Amino acid sequence: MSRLADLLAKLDRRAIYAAVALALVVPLLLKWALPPAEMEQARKFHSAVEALPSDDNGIVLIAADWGPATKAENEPQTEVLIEHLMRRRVHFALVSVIAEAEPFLRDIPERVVKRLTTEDPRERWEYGKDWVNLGYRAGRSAMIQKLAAAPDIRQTLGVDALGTPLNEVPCMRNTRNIRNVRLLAEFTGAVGVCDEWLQFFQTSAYRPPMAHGCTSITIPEAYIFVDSGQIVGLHEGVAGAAAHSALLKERYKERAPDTAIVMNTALAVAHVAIIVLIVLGNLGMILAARKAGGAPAAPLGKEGAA
Amino acid sequence: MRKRLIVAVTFLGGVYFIVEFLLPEYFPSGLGRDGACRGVKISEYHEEILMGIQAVGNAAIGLGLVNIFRVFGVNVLKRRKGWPYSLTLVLAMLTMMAVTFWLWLQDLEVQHQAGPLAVQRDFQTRILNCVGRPAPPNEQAAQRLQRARDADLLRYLSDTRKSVAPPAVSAGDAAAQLAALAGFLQGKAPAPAFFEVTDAPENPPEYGTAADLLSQPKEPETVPPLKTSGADARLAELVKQRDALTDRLLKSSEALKAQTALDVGGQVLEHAAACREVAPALRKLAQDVRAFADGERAAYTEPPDFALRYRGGPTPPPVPMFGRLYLATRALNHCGNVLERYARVLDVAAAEIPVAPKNQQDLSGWLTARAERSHAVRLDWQRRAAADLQQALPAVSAKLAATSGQPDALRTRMLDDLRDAGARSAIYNQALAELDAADSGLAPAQGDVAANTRAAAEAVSRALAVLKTQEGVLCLLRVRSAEQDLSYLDLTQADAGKIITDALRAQAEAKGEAAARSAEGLRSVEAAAKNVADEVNKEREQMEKDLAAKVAGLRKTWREKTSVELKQLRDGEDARKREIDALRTRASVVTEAQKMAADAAAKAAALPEIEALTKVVTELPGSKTDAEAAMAVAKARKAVLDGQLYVLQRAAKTEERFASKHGMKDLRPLTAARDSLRALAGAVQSDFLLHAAVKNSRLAATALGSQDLPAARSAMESCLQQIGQAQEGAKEALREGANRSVVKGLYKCLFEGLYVSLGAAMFSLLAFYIASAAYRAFRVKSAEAGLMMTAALLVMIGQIPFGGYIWSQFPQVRLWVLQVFSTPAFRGIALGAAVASLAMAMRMWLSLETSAFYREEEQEGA
Repeated sequence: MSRLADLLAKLDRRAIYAAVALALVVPLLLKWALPPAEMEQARKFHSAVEALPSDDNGIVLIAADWGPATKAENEPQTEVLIEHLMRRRVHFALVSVIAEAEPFLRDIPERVVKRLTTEDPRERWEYGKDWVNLGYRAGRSAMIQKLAAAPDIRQTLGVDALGTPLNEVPCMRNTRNIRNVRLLAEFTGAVGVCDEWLQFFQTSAYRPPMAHGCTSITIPEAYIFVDSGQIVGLHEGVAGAAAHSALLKERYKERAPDTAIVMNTALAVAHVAIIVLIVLGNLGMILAARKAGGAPAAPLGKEGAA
Repeated sequence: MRKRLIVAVTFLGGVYFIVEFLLPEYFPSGLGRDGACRGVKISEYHEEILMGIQAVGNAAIGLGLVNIFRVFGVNVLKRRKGWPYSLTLVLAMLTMMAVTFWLWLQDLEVQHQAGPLAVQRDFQTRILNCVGRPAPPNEQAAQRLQRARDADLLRYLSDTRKSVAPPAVSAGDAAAQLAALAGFLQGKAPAPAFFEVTDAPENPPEYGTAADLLSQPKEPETVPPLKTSGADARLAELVKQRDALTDRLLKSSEALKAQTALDVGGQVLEHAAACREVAPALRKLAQDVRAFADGERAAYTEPPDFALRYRGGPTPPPVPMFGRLYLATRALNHCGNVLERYARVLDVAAAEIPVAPKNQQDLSGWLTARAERSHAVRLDWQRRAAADLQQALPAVSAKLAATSGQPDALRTRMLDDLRDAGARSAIYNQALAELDAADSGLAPAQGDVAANTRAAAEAVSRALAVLKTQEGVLCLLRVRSAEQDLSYLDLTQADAGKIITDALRAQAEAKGEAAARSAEGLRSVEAAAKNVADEVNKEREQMEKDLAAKVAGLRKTWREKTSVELKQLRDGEDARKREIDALRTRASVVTEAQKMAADAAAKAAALPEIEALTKVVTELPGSKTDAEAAMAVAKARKAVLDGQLYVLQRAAKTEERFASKHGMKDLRPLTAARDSLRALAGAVQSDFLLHAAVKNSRLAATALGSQDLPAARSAMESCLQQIGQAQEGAKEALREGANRSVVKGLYKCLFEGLYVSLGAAMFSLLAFYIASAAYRAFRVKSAEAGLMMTAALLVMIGQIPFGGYIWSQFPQVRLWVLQVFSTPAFRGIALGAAVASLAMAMRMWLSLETSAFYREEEQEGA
């Protein structure tokens, strides 16, 4: 018992790093895909997309306000939404107020199109007809206000990310102002960006329904707006994206597991590893207290600090 | 002064936003003449103000850049501590800025190159709007507007003609024109309708306008005879020369149309050479015909009538000999020009096409190597199968002999094993026969891939089907048989135990009855019965032990034997799977070969545009105007170009798939070739669309001339659409080139290779630190800490898939914790922060929060 207490007290931090690395890497390499936990907000997100009409009279605006730092969580969220919209043939526009997001705005839809075309070679999705990339737009809150107040979004923004005038983009043909935005889907890991969209992307007469995808550490902050009804659906980190992906799988049986579910499984294993580490840490503390005759456990020294 | 200015601007800005937020959208200022409420829109300049704020924000970026260079540049220059890090930062920033700037310039170049088309498109849209505008109230204004529209339209048409390249003419045009011309010169056919003689005649015509000539033919049945001596012979010689040249060109065209070999590019080059050779000969022939016509005309006293403007029609007009000869002169010259242009087109086509022969050679080589490898693997497999069979047969025979005393069911299974072995042997033989058939089909396929690969693929597929179905069934039967044997052993053991127990019980009962009958020796009998019962029990236990040991031994032996057999079966199955994979790979390669052969065939079918265009041109006399005829030719040409484009893209895609699938090392040249082809195809498509746009604009001019505004509008809309498509195609081709540029590669390397990866890695490190911190600091030392850990564990378990396995309500518990405890707490924090932010904003608005500014002022003053 004494040896166990010493071992736990002097556990090398590299052993912890190795355990976490193994817990993350092994499921990813094995492509282990467990059905995700039920997420009520992801189901609402899915229902909000399902309720959208598939016609030319409006678009879904996807604000992908994330960069490489939160790519691991926000990319699966954005990808699963784009896939859902493409499957339902709902037109959408991608925009970002974060400069680092610009390459992802271009790559993700193309990747989804490739996957969907592989699944069913008879179907076709084309840039311009099914979606448009509005690119990075500077100015954050000022830009959002300008977009909300614009009498004609196409004239306000001018051209898309490829330099094509928005008046000539087919899927923007009937999109004039904020009233034609049927859903705003905002994904971010940055502090305050979601608040800015909520605060400024509205007029006195109309506010589009908003869905949100956040990183795990900002879930409590996002729930404020879920509770107030300002957010109609929420992707809670990778788990939310995986839950949305599982709902898609229920409807499209031939759909292959995507990265969201595999990553969620790897994260679950890592969570279990962390729980085990917490239990071991407390066990070490109790054993050390007994060894010291009931005295409180001394703080861990440098060599014992994990 | 500077401080006051800043304070004033801050205050005024705050006033604007407060007023804009608090007051209604319109600030009423009274009633107008019509009694309507008039007012000032407060947010009228809101967008300009926001743009100004954005400009200030962007200026802050510039300020930040300057500061970075000041701070880190000084570090580098003065070699302060850590200066290499500063140098790295500055260099990385400069590199990224340079690459991004370079990329921006490249984008500008793309926009610049595609820009004239956008201007053209915008201009045409405006004219189209003019054409479609509703008519003005009075007729005079309508006429004025009509004139303005016509002038705009004509100006536009002129601009369009100047801005786009002249239309390409194909060999189909030339061949058809030559054929029609030959008939015309021999008087067997009407004058060709696909060109017009627009040059002014050397001598003025005396028959008035062309319309007069056509409506009132002069002596329609008579053709003046030739005057000079030897004219008939000279004309016959000229016709002979013309026939020789026409035959040469038609033979070359026929050879190209009948193309079946793989080297299409070579044939196209030969055809181009033939065109190039015939073109000057035709011009020389034109000079000869002209000289002949001049000589004949000199012999006449009446003026010749060769200067007519012929536009075609259902009935051939009576054109005199001179007219025909001069028309022939122009037609031959025209054909010479056409052939030269077509030769250039063919050169381009020939440069695109020779991709296919290389593929065929690669494919043949690969098929040969693959067939050799497959043959070696097959022989090896055959040997192993034979050894397996030889090894299995004695074992099964011995087993059969050993089980002669066993129950019938076990013996029957052994016999089934033997039959399986025999059936497997038969299946091996059948599969080998199919493989032989496949190889025999493959051998000629290497020589002539396009014709024979399909048979080879079918044979391989049959072999695969046999192996997949029958071998799979056999393996399943063997495994199921082994399982049944094991269950049989279990049953046998249970039955044996029951039989022994029953026998012992019957024996005991018999002994008991015997004892009961003997009243006298009851006690002794009881004692004896007890002894007997003990003995029987001991005997039964011993027998049960023996039987259990025997059964266990038998089961162990049987399991070992079965496991060995199963292992052999699995080995055999693995070998078969490997073989099936190899065969499947070979089948896929053969399928690829089929596709490539189909591509080559499609290419051969798409190339003879002569046939398609000849067909279109033969329909031309029925067309109403030249513009419609030109549109028909344009449509046919577009169809042929689309076919070529499709074939080129298919060939490139197949080549790329082939290379990537079979591990060709250097893929980049193939990919680059594919991209080049795509870009070239896009450019060709754009050129063609422009050509079609010009035709449409001519059609619009014709319709406008005849006051047919709807037709003009329709044609202009088509023209607008085609210019738009051409613009997109040109931009796409230019962008394709830009994407393969050095700067794009550099940008991708820096951004995706370095920035994205490093950024993601930095954030991912958090996972390890969180795990380490959780182990070290998440200790339950108090009730509050215990509460926090409980909440954390509930949320974590409720969010992961394993939570649902433990208790299905964990996700609901997690949601409850988040909504009931976490959200109110966070809302309180958010409200507190918002109130604090408001207080800070008020202080900044009223310039109460200027400590940093004053400090700077004081420092400057000091």
